[in-house]
Amino acid sequence: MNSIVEASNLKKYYRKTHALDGVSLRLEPGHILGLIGPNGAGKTTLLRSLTGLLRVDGELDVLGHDPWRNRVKVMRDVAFIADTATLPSWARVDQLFTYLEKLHPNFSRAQAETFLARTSVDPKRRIKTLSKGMVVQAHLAMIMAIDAKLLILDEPTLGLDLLFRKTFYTNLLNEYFDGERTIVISTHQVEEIEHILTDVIFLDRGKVVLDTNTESLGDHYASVTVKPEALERARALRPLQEQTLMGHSVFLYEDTPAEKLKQLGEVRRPGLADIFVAKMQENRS
Amino acid sequence: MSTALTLLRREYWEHRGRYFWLPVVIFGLFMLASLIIGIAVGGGFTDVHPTGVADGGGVAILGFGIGFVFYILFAISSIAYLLSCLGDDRVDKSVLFWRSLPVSDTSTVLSKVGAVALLGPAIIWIATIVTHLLVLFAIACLASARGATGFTVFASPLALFGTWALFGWAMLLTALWWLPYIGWLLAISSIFKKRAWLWGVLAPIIVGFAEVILSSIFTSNTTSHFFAFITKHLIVAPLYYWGNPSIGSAYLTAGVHQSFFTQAGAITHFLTEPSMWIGAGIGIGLIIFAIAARRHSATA
Repeated sequence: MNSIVEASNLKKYYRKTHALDGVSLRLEPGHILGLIGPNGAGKTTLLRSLTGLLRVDGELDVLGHDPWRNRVKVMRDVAFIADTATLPSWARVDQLFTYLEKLHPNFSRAQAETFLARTSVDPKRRIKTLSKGMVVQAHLAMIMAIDAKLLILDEPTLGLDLLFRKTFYTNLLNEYFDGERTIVISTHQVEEIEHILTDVIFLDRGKVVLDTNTESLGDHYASVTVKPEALERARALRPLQEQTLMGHSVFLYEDTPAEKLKQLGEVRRPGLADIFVAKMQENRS
Repeated sequence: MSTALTLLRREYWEHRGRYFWLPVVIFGLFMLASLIIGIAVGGGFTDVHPTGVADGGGVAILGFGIGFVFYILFAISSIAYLLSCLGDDRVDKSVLFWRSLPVSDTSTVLSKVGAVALLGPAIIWIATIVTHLLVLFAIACLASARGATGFTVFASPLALFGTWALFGWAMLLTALWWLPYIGWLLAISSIFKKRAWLWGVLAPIIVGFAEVILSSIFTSNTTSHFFAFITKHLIVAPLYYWGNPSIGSAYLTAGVHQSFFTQAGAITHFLTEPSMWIGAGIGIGLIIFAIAARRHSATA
């Protein structure tokens, strides 16, 4: 099966800043990739290079094309939400539907109208008169009506309240993801998307710090609430991170045999956010 | 073709002020003026012809005047439009939405040229014809009410259809003649998100003054060749032969047929001028630059 995205040694330098510093990745059809990193990690640069908005050095193939050279071809099969507020303020929602209907070969107006009808957004209203949440709903209705092979979401729920964020991802999974489509999501809100991801990439200072599938995370990472008498032994096993939570010492381990960890205390599977914080600290130490 | 029409439609939606309200307001002012003039001078309209009959000459001159007002005001509003059309969507970030769609930067930039060179003139052309007919009708009614032969204003097809055809032709040639200005303003817009006025309008003026100052220091010459060139190319356009009063008066002295063909020849003659094609070449070069700049700077 052909990859949706194949990137090798991508580099993008802005004077002294290394926005991308040798990033390589491969994304197969039907996967949901979470792109996670702190501010300035290079997430947006990477996503914009995938959509042909930015030119980067290195080898990049999206759906069989170089996105910088063939942006129009690539974007026929790629849908992209770049930010929460990028719809043109002067436009009415139905005008944008008409525009997409005429210009996008894979857009279904009927579907977009069906999605929009479930929201409180009036298609006759101008974008500037809608609340931020409504704009995202309108944008999502448009994006979900595009029969795309790859959907790229760059901080799609930034600034929205929790209820909206939950609805957004629920709709995305229930209405859009059919097991064949591929989705890339970049966000800070790791906990909210953790359960829907099949793959995860941690990015820091333009470099890939972790690239794995979420199923195998449990095989590689373990969080141990270490018994007081086992602290020295626990430290000897070189934990990725050591912290004290409500009087308990919690250590995070990477690729450490489970039998050894069981002797230290209670072992559980760590959350993605815990692994993220630990990997960032490791990368910066 | 469908893509081009959709992109032009988008321009119309985004700039309804320019393409709808501006012509509507000018139309309204013409209606008001014709009413006031009609009431005030009424049958006096027939005085524009020595025989006392409102004939094609007067009709054509009226058409010139109306079309000229529409076009000049549209052209002035186009300066602001062109200076901001590739910058505004970068300021409000909607460029990220537009560029997430399978539409090339070339199509986008050309749609801005098309909006100024084709869409606007097409709307103005229709508005001019409607206004021309209604003003003539209003004046004819009022003139007739006062006992003059007002409705002869519709008797000369050349004065009506010929005037409109010539106006459309003059607008197309003017757009081609002004292509270097269109290209320049677009190029500036593609680079500067803000303060595009400073670069687009003031920079050429500063260059002109700098040339005057430098040449007056080193030689006794105090004229700016640069400034003279860009202003002459701007003012002496095909449209000038449309709105030129001396040509208007020729209609009254030489008659509508002879004057019409003289004017048509003067306007079409622009196609044979080297500066038309040199200017068009510069304009195309600047538009290509704007496309390249848009591609590289659209996410900035």
